[in-house]
Amino acid sequence: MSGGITFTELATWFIFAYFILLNGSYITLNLLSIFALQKSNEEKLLESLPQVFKGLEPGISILVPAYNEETTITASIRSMFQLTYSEFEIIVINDGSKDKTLEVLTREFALLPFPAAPRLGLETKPIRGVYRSMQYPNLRVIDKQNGGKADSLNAGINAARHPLFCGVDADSILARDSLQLVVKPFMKHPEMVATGGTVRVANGCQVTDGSLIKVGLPSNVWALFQVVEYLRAFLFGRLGWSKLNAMLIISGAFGLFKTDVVIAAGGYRSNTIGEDMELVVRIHRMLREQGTPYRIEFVPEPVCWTEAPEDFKTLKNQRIRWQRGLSESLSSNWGLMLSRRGGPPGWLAFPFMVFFEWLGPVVELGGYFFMIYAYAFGLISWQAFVVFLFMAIGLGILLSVSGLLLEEISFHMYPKFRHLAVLSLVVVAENFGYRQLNTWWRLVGLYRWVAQRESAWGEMKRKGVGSKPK
Amino acid sequence: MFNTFSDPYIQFAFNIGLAAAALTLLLVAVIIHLRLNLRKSQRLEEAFIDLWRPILMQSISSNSTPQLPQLPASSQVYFLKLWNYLQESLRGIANERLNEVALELRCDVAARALLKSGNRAERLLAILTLAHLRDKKSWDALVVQANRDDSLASIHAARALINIDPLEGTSLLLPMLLQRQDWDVAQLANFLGSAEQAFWLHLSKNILQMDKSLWTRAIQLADALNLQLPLQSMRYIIEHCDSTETLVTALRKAGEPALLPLVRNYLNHADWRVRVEAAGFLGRFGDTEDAEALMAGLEDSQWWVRYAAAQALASMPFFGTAQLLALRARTLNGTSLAMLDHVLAEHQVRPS
Repeated sequence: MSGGITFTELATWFIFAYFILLNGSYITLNLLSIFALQKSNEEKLLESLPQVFKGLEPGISILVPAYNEETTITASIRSMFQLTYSEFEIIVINDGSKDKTLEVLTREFALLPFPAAPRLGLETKPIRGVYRSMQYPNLRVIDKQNGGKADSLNAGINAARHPLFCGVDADSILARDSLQLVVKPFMKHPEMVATGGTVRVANGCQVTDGSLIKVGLPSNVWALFQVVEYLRAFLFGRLGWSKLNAMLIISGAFGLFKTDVVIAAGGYRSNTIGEDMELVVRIHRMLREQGTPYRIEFVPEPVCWTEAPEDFKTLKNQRIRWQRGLSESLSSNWGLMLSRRGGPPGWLAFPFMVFFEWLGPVVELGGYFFMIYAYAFGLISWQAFVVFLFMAIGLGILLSVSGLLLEEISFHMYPKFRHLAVLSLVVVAENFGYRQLNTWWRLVGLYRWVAQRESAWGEMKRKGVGSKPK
Repeated sequence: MFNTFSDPYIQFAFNIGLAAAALTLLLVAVIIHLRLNLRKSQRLEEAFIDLWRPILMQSISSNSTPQLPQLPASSQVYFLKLWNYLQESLRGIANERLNEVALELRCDVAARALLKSGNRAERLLAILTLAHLRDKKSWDALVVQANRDDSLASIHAARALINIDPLEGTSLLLPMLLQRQDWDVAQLANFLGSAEQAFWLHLSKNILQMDKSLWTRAIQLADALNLQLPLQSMRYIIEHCDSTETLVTALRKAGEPALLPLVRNYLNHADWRVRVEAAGFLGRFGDTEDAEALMAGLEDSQWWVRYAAAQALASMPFFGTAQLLALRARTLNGTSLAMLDHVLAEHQVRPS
């Protein structure tokens, strides 16, 4: 190799550099999260003191889109009435369910038709009727033609009475103090436009009547892998970005938004799969372009528990959809990328998402295949091949363990030593196959987005609860 | 290149992998250490609470302070946490009894020491303790804390200063109470409850001299404390404010019928939020002449104005739902009709 640099050298160096950059970014986010959690830990004493409600907290409209949720909707709504907050209303949007969701709601909550004056805000599928509960004055149900989750949320926003709204999945389990926690940033910063909280995996937990009774770990291996993934995604992914005011994702399972800002942004886009991320990226873009000061913040406390898929097919479909959603969210808001007024979202988070989350599967799997190919054809030595795997897997394990560390320094939701031991094994094991499989699914999602192949909402096999981190 | 293990590139990658492995092991050790520490600390705290909670409860219910056991320095933070929790949960004479116990155990000295040299968590605990103890000796140190950027420490220090001397505290802090947007109004309303008269005195005296940009928050705070600002101040603010935000807040807060002639002018304001508040005011204080104007409001282009107008009509003592039904019967405009039906249903009146 005395002449110029060869293709093999160039490719190998590129792959090394990519892995180092990717993991270096994650480690930086991790450090930011450690500082944020440390600060939050210091404030725990004051947070744990008895809270006095003066009724001055901003009102919140909880929007619950429901499609074929006859088995879970009653328990979910009843658990929402247990939320500790001074002023909130619940708006269930029955999105043309084919089952008896509306009948169940009518029976359980004594619904009567309500002649609501139509509010023409965001465009939605036709509303078939509005109902009001005779038992709970703060419960309304909107019955509409099927139009998807985004369309349902828009219908809910049109009907919302309060300055803030919270989009919740019908099968999410909310912590009793979840609204109190996510509203706090709004009360401290007038320029706050959205907050999101940590979503955790409910599989393996004891849930009664829509309320989480006891935290546990699932026995299903796919769900176990997702427990670790959620820790990583929320505790250092989002918390780190939040410190830079550059968080591009708020989970659709639980997020709080300023109603008028979302209406000004045009509401949820119903022709996208990742409507939750797309909205947040669009809000960033809109407010950056306007030069309006704003904040979007992440609350690290676990506020919402969701059921993760436990079978290969559902999990695969979910991940493919997420990657498509990510692709759509980024491509439809490309104006934010390195834009003049883009700030941290446009100059850090967006490029990061593009290079490491969006195109990541291409480079990551390309890297693995290239190394196998190069080794098979004698282009690189076995030492180089092994060292590459050692580095890639070693950094992967380090990141997973750091997610576990963040959990341990903050919330330690998994109380038993056995939990800790199982999670420690999982953070190692997920790097041998599961992460690579995930990368493959993301690549398929990317391909389907490029090919514009429809990927229908897969039916989630549920035991009772459900949603997603990204 | 890339063919031997001694190659610098491979060596570099190998070193990264090695560092990752070493760091992983270190993190695992830290996790185990943290978990062991947490367990130990939880056990100690539980044992402490088992011993001290009954003592504190007894001291609250008896007329004299009971014999107190020695409080080791290592347990001081546990004690202050428990003590502050009880302070926040109880009211009246119980707070005074708890103060007597704390002074007996020299917690004031301990809190001052923590405020001076503790970490942030300990400083927050100290500020809270000194607030409950109304510790005059800490005044200067608390003023320093109230001026810090740290939202939590500063707002609790402000609370302590107000507890120690309501008149002096509110006078000193008034500019900050109005300027610091990171001090949550709801929390301030809780803190200022014991000093609301002092606050009202300073606010009503200074509100017209202060910068107009502070008016919105001043009215919000007064509203949170259910304080009525002087009529002439409200009139002046409504007439002279520069921002719609202030106007909306002032109209929402306006609670004097004497403002009626002035507020009527805003029912046709360009900003719909102002029209909403003006309609609400007319619903509270308007007369028959205003009912006509509110009926016109039922045809407003904004849903919220139509809603506020219908609600205002329904709440007028001389109008009410019976008149609303009559109005419905003669209303032809579909939008107005829909809003009347909406509001009648909210008042649970069914049109025949």
